[in-house]
Amino acid sequence: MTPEPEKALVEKAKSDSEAFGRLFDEYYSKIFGYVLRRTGDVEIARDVVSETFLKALKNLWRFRWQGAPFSAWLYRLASNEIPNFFRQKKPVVGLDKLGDPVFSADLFEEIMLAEEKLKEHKEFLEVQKQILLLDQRYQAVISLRFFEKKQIKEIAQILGKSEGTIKSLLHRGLTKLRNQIKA
Amino acid sequence: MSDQLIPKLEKLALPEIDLPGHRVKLRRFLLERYSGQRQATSVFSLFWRLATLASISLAVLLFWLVGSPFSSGPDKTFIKEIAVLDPRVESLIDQGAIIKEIQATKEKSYVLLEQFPVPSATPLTGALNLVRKEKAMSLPSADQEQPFIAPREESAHRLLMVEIDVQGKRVLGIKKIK
Repeated sequence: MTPEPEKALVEKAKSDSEAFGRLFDEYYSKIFGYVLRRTGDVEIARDVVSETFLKALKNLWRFRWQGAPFSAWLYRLASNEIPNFFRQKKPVVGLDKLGDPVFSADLFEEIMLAEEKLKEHKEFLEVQKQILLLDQRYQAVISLRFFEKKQIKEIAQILGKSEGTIKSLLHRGLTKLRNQIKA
Repeated sequence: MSDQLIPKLEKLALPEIDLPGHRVKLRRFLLERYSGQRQATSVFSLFWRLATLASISLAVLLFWLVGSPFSSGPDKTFIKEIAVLDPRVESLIDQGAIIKEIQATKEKSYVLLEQFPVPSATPLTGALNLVRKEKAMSLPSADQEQPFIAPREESAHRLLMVEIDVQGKRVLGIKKIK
């Protein structure tokens, strides 16, 4: 989405649920894909994404344009939510909160299918397993750079750090990853 | 493998998985939350609007009843200046009177003067009295302007109230206070 229509939509979403729904539709897949590729686990990704959008809803009124796109804010919420999830291991928006048991059964089936699909990406899972051993900061920059194909500037906007810091984190992260793979 | 890490990461086939059921469910959940949140916010904002309106009304009412707390009257220094510039007050001050209190209001203001008793006759006051007597004798005309100040009661101090017209910037009169 181009900046101006996105800006207008975000402003509208602060007082209009339909506009918020449109933002959700626009970014759900991107955020889900990012979290899935970061965690390598469908169920965790589902819970983290639920939390991320719930936080986006709660804090949307606080969102101010500071040169970064709205998606950067969502990526940042998700990036913060991943370590939170592993610390708490207790999703606030679990399946039980998302609706009736029949639908939950459907969701269960959907997750099973998604996990099967994920298992097909053996090479990715192998690398991802090594990335998971790194510090969260390195995980985030490597994932955003190579899996989400973000530029250094975009990663800096997402993580709220300078471009120099991101370059440095990326360099150190890759070195550590190399050493891990060697070992 | 390690030397080719970056090309490998760049060419890695990435999983593109979606959960359409979860997406629908989460969307519905969020929009329900959104409505609830908005409702709560509107009740809260309605409460605050009413509270603000009540506060403003109370402030206006108090302002109307008591008057503005920021405009209690003209500056006391200004009142003092009007009083002191008046020759009658000036003369009283020259004779040792002091300003005891100033009451400043928008229309009329008051300055309270206190005159102290003159100590019993000294060689100097005796000489002054002699000069006065001589003057009185040399200028006995009846139309001679009487001094505003009555001869001093030398036994006790007295209080004088100077009434000031603030708008006209002048002294209206001086009254003795018992």
